[in-house]
Amino acid sequence: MSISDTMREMQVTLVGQPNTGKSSLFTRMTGVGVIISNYAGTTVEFEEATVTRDGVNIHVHDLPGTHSLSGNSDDELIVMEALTKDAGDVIIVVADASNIEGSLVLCFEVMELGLPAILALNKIDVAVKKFDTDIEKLRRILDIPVVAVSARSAFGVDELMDNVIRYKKRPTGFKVRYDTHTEEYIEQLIPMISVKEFDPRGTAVKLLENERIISSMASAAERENAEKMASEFERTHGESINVHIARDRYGQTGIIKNEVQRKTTRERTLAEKISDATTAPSTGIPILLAVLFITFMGFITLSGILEGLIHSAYDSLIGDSLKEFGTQMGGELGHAVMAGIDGSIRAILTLVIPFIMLFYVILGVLEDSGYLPRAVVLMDRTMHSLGLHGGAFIPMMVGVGCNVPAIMATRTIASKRERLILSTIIVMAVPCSAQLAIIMGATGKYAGMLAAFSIFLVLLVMIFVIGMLMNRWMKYEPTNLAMEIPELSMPSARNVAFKTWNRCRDFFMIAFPLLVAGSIILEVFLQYGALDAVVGPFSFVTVTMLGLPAVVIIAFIMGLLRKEMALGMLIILAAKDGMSLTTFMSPDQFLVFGLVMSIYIPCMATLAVLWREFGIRNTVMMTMTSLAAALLIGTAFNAILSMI
Amino acid sequence: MGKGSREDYLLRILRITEEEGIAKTNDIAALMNVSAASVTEMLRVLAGDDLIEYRKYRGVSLTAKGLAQAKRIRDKHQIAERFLMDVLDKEQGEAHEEACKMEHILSDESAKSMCRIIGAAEMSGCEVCGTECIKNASGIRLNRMSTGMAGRISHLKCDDAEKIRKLVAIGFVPGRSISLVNRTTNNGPIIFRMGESNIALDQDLASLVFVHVDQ
Repeated sequence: MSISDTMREMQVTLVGQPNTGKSSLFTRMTGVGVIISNYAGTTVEFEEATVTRDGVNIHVHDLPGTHSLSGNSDDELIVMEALTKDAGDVIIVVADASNIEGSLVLCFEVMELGLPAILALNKIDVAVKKFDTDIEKLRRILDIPVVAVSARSAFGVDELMDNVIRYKKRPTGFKVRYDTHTEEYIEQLIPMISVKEFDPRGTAVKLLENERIISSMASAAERENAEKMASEFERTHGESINVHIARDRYGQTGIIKNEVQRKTTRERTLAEKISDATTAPSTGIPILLAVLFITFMGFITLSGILEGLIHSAYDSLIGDSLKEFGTQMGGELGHAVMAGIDGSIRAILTLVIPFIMLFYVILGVLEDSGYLPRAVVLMDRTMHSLGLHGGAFIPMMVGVGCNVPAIMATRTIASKRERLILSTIIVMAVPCSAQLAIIMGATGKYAGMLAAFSIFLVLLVMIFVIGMLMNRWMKYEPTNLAMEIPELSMPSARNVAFKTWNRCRDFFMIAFPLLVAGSIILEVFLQYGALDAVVGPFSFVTVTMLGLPAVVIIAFIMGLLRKEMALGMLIILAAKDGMSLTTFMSPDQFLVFGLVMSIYIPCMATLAVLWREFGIRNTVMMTMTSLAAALLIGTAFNAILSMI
Repeated sequence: MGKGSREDYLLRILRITEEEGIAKTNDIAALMNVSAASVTEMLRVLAGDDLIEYRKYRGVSLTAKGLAQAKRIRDKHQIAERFLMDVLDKEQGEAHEEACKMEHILSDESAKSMCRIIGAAEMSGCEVCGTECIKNASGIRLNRMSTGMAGRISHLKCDDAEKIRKLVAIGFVPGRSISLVNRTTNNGPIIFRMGESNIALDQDLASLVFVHVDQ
């Protein structure tokens, strides 16, 4: 027998409330990095990874965070569906040890359904500062394995894994007792339960709660009975049975919490005092403005410094050596090819590091500090005028990095209508980091900061115009803001660095080869004098409407693939004519170029994700509208600028 | 036969007729755990008082007078039960047992006063005082709290079951302690603290949750 035949396979599922550190724990358990932020809803898709330990192949699945298993929100339905299909061998309920009540309620629900549960008390390092927690007592009360862990420091992760491997399914002696009427109903329902996936008692409770997935699995008769009971309960108690069941669950958590946790300090920490100030009426908005201002100014200053450093480093280290090497190897053609590669390297280095990477570092710090949810709350009223609520702020912020994850992040917003408004705004008016690099690195650098600011101003106006127009045209579906405000915490350099690299990798891995290929193809066109054939037909748009050099169309076309390629291409195009960018286009032309690039058609990756999320019709509409808007606004600016 | 027993019959008939329209003698007997003969005897008394309409072999239904009386008793039961639970912190089971006795002896005046203390329940349809419910200062909506105020959630009130679900899912559950941390902006979301977590709710959702403010 070979070793692989004796390998045991285990399926482990992570379930937990939002922001309890599920994803961090997933990373610790599997060593597979996933993006982690200090706010709810970072995991919008399943993650899965396998880790081998003591001869066992453990497949770990990370599910989206969910508050409960009875709320019927999208996340809850996704989790319930996953648990119904295949709950796996062990369910790890991830709880925030510094805030256990809500997590215990979720744990009760998992246990009630008869699922094989292990409770992981995460963030134990934070909790010890506030409470003495009696883990052993909690284990005795719940009668399931309970392990204290800290995903941040890896404390307890080994013990958790050992518990997973050793896990033997057995019924727990613990259950939540409901009031006499509800218990009566449960008794009556249990004999008729036909659902086999879960424990009958848990199924009966879920039927009474009218949980969508389990109700759909039950027979019509079971459903009818449960519905009748629920409405009778409501008539006789004047309160819905859901509220009553939740009341009993929370009552139970309160008792358990008093038993196992004792508060150690009553003193408010500095972080708590600062936290209060960030949302207080008198200081909240000023702090928000200060954060935005510092972020923006910090970005502009640092990106300028970094760009200068990289330029001089490249000049002193490599200089013209690549081009000279090309000339030696293959004469004029060799020189041209190597010039293309040289230009591509320069373009990527000076675009990605000072602008894109820097933005992601700043975003990472903001995300991990836990400040963003506070901004969400403060922006709520403003967002309402765009037909959105404050929750839209985070996808917009992420959109300044890249539109693709931003559109994915809109999934945390419940209504389809809001998602569409928000995605349109992100695609058309929120500059992604590549567009930011164009605005700052091309327009800002060659036409002055005032020109760059005017582009930002145009985009800001567009955000409001698009939002208000769509808000008026589309049927209203009210949505509400209800979100947890996490504690402020010190961002970890390791996590920020990891996220930044993860988010920037594509720029080096995909954009750079494309740029090199593009420059070589361009060279071939030039060699055969075919450039005019490509450039010519579009000259009405580029030259007449926008007042730009005709070859800029190449940059626009490359910008379809990836936005940063437009500027990269521009640098290469200018170099072909032996010009620097300063002489290639005038400041006014740089302003128009930056403006058109910031509005115009979403890149390929964004188009793909739009198509998947909203269908072809909406995608085509968005693309056409942004193209039209880009050309109109660009032409208008060109006309105005040439008059002055 | 005492007043309590008569009223118990009325309540049972109300419960059956609300579901089935007409109550059969045997159903009543089964529910009350007594013989069919004693049920028939009581039904005659109730019919004599013009509280029910009794047709042999078909069953009974409540008259308008009987319906009003039965509903009033049920409302009193609910008020008493919630008063015992919310104000006196009794366990639900105990409160229910005690309310079963109180419903028969509680005066309209006392019921009204108790109601004023606990605030109106979700979908109560209570008809004890026959007027719009008056909110007492101690039972107010969350969005009416001011900064630093603390209290205990008494109930949620909304016709939209999904909103109730959402609120319950994120922890806005009757019986939990809650305090108002910050009102952020004018008409903007409000930040509450429950247990160890801070949760922001917009004004619309906050207005659906009722609290007893700690004095």
